[in-house]
Amino acid sequence: MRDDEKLIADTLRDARRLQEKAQRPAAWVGIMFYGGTLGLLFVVPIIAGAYLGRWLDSLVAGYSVRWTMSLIVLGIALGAYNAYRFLKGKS
Amino acid sequence: MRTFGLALLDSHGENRFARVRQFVGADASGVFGILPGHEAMVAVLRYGLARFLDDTGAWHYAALPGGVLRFSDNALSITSVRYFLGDEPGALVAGLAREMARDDSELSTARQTLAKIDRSLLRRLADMNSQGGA
Repeated sequence: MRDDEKLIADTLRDARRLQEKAQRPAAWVGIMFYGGTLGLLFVVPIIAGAYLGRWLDSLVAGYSVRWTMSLIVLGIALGAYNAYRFLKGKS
Repeated sequence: MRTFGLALLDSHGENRFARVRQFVGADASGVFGILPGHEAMVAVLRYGLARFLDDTGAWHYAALPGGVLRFSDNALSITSVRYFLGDEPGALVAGLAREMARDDSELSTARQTLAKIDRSLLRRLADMNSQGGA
């Protein structure tokens, strides 16, 4: 086989492999790992916000949920941003 | 975002990419990847497709008839006899066949021109010889 024919044949083989890899369905372990990472990225800031807010509210005299609610909402926003960046990086 | 520089060099010129996030190539032992900050290394690439991801998230592909890869000081250089760049593997393969045919045609034309020059030279030498002998 000539050098240029070999280059075309080997490049075609690699291109097919890449295409097959892209079309292959994702494994269950991969899906779980991906979903778990995405879930953690979203949930951790919300829980952290809730705990921090609860602690701040306990320092305030009387009954208060202002800090808890505010930091939960902040956690949701941060979690959504985290998830967005993760998804953008993977696409 | 961490990146590294990539220089592709062949007999036709060079292409430089300042911000590459990832490179995937293959040598005789199999496929390997290079990320920014990798240890210094040298590898002999095999025939086929190599690819790299730039800082915009776009993959670029290079078809190579082998080559020498060198990574040091966060800069990657690939030296090959010839390489063909593309953004889509399927289109690259199609373009490769066309490019090869064109190269063959240019080579054939160059050979014919050389043969013509050769013949003219011989004719001229024969003429000079006959004039000198007369």
